[in-house]
Amino acid sequence: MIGLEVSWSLLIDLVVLPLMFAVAMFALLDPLMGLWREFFNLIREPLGLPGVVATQVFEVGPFGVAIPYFTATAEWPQSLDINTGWLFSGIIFVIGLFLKGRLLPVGYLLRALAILQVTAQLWFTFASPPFTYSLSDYIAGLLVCGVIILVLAPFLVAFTFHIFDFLLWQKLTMATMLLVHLSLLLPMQAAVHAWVIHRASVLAMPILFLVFGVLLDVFVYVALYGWGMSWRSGGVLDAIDRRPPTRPERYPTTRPRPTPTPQSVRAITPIGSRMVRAVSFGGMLGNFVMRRLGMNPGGRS
Amino acid sequence: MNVGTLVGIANVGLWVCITILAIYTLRHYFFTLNRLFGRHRQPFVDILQADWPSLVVFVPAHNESRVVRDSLDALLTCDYPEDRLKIVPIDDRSTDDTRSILVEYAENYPGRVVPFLRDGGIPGKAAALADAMDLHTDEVFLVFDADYIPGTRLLKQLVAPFFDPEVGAVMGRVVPLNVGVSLLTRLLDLERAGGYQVDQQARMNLRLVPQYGGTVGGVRRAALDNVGGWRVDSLAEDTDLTVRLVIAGWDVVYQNRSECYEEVPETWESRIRQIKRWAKGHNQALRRYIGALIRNRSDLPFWQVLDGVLLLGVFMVPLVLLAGWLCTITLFYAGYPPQWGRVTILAISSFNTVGNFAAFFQVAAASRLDGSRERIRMLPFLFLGFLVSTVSVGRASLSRASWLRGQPVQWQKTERHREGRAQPPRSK
Amino acid sequence: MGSPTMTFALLLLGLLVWMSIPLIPAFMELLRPRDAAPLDAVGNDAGNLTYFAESFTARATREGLLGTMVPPRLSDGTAVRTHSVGQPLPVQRRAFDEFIVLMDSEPLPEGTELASECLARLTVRGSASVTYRALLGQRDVYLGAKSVVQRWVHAKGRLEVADNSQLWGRATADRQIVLGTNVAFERLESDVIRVTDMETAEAPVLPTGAYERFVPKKARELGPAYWRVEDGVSIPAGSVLIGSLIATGSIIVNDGARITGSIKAHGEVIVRNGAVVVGSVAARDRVTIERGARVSGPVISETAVVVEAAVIGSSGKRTTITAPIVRLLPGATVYGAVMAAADGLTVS
Repeated sequence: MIGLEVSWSLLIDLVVLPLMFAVAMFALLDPLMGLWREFFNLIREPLGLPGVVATQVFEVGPFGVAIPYFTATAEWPQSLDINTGWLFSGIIFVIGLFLKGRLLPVGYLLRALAILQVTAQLWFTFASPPFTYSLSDYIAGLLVCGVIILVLAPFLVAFTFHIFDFLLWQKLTMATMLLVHLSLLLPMQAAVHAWVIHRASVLAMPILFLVFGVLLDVFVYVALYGWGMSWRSGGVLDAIDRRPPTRPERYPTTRPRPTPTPQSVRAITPIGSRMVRAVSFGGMLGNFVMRRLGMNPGGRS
Repeated sequence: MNVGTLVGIANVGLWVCITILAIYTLRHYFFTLNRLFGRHRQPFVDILQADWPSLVVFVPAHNESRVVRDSLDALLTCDYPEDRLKIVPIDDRSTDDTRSILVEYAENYPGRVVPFLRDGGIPGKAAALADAMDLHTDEVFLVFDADYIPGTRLLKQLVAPFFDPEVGAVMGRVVPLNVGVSLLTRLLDLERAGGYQVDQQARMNLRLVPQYGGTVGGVRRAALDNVGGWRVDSLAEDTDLTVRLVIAGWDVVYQNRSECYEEVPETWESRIRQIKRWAKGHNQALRRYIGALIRNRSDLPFWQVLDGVLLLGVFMVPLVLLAGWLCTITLFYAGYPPQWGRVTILAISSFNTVGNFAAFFQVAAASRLDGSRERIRMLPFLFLGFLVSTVSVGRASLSRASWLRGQPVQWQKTERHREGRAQPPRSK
Repeated sequence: MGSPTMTFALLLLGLLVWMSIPLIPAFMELLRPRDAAPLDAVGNDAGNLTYFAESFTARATREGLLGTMVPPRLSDGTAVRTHSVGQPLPVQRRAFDEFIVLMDSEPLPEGTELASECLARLTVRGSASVTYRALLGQRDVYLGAKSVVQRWVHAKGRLEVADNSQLWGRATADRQIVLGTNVAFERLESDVIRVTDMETAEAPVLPTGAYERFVPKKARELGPAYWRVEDGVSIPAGSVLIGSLIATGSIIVNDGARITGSIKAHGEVIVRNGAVVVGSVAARDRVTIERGARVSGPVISETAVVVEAAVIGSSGKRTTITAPIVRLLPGATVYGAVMAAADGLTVS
């Protein structure tokens, strides 16, 4: 059975590459935050968001990152908002109920969203203001979280993608794609959240935070990862590529039919009807040590 | 209850949920890394020549007229010595043509196809198997569902591990045949790859608890007798048997290269019924055996006990996930207590990223090990599959059948979609 | 820009488009599947060591290589070259890319390297140090010292391999395989496989009553005549264990002892001189079958198997030795198959 091997180059890819990306990302945060600030300034007024684009300093040890955010405010939901929310939840839920067959999982998704929104409806119906989170705090938190993800993402990529036998350029491309994508996605995501919460009151905040926040960023990585993992690696895992790409048939090709027992044999055989009735680190380390000793732990088969 | 107490409970609840989920996440990563880098343990795969023991292949069938012919034909073309092999299709109260098909096969293949026709007794697969096995004294029993299509060498491959007298049960690999039919079948293909190529094989590599899955596998007569036979009141006789064998000290072996085609559910409704059934049966086994497994910890290796407990609890994970979401929502509305806020948000964020990703990593790695590439692009759609599974399993886990004793057992089977005769891809 | 709502709509659209870009490959695979065929899982070659030889024979017949006139080329364009007493391969050229047909028993020049398949129509008498990619012998095959087979060799009669040769891949024969010493191998299969023609001393099998009955102490009974011992077990010389035994330590079957079932040890298994195991022998650690011993069933180890001048299987009941490392000593006789996943070797 073909598997991967622990090698120095792999360990370098797992440690050095993500460190390099993380350091580069950290170094580029200042200009990136500048771009985000420009973007927010450009879009704040056309979006009709009150306040200004402020900056909060997120401190990591001796370093500080100035992260821009909107100081827009959001109202405590009025009865119109609550009623609209109920209507919205109801419609989403009912649509979810009617989606059957192939669209059933979308129906589940809609129903889950509706139930989440209902929890918000109930909370804001019975609770009294003020809400724990202001819009500006929320947006600032979302972006801080985004910055943390940007710096840590290379390590996730290393652990889940660089660990395979992809070529160096493929590994670099994967990490770069993710970072570039998230760098543009995060400010757009924040602006959309800010506008929705500002217009629809804090009633919209829970669902945005729980479903369309970090989970969305993970979803993006899963999509990119799925694409990257389908690349030809040129390594041992490609060697076991067993099929040429084909358009599937439902039940292709033929198979030999069994030969019935000859009549002569049947005649003398009673027919019964009723009666008839380590990684293990140990494993990695072991393989590595064995290889150093000139032994072949995986075998040749 | 004041808000402070609620927040306290939610906070503790969230940490408990995150801890449990983190253990399963680590398990996913650990198994995947083992499969990618560890030693592939398959000690029986090369047994080609032997004095093969007498074998009975059971094919439980309840209204399986659409598929049972394919399965019997495939079994009849297997290369197991004819004088050592009996194929016993079990018809349990079918209302379609299943019984007449089985009788027709018995007439065409006398002595080779020996149907067991059942009209009374406790319904269900376990009871049917128990009754049918009572009539046979052969050394090894294999079980195939009626929609499974074994390759010609599969029977020998599955019997080979029984030459090790410590092996009580063997499980082969299930490979979806109807992959390209719908989004669901494609997602199930990915899930099956992850489950077998990585999960089961890693457990085999690490000498943990590979699961006997009730089909494409078998059991040694002596081992079955030793643990008390089939439990006829079991909703998941496979999990039930696996745990009893492990507790009694028998080995359960997974054979990754003993592959057999199956028809996976093609509609979401059918998939939901299937996974709910699995969840109820698994949770029933959890209730029955978790105590015994832990009590026997001195007789078994620690890691095997731990893996057994995690295996039994696997269908509780969606419930834990849902509970975690409930705690998160509660904490969100109530506002984090200042001293916990940052830590909690960090935990949630970390789990959201690293934790949620573990299953995708496992599936992608499994597909690459299978030699597949382009199908991995479907990975983001697995979110939909996971959502449906989480909700369905969560609901099943909350149902009475999961936890109460004495629930009536009945035939519950996956809807068949096959039209015409099935043909597996041409072998190399 | 227009109203805030319009700006928002544009922003949302931008976000959705940007988010959708990573999903394009997923949707393409969903709508125009390129990899949605069932896994081609059940290969014919996996459990059939002669699969390549059978396919090759069919091809040779189809291409007319067994007829009176050998065609100059195969249907895929590969050049065919013959070797015979009257028309030998040129001595000055060592390596041949062509498909080689050995027309008679004229030995190939020493040191020849055949990079393509080779078909022998009569008995093969190989010279020393010849490298074959794959060799099909229609009769007996005798490989000279230091021969190398890279993928497979099959003899429709007897396969005899001289000392210091290397048999990578599959080596099979319809009748018998005889190996010299220091022959490396991976997979062997034949009616009988011997290391040198040395006579093997087979243990006599006496009636069960002729032995002293042995029942393991502190054993847990898993079933009738089925024992498990949480320790090592030494079966005394001349005794019989009726049934099967599992031990978490090592098992030593002493001289002349007999086991009517199978044994499994988490440690080592040693079957000593003249001992008999009627069933199989399995161990996580090494299995040693000493001179004069006999095992009827498969011998399975997760570490190594060493077979001295002992007999595994019998003429009517073929069996298998399987382990990562296999060592066969002179006089070892195996009826069936020997599978060494990592390292097989005959040693003196």
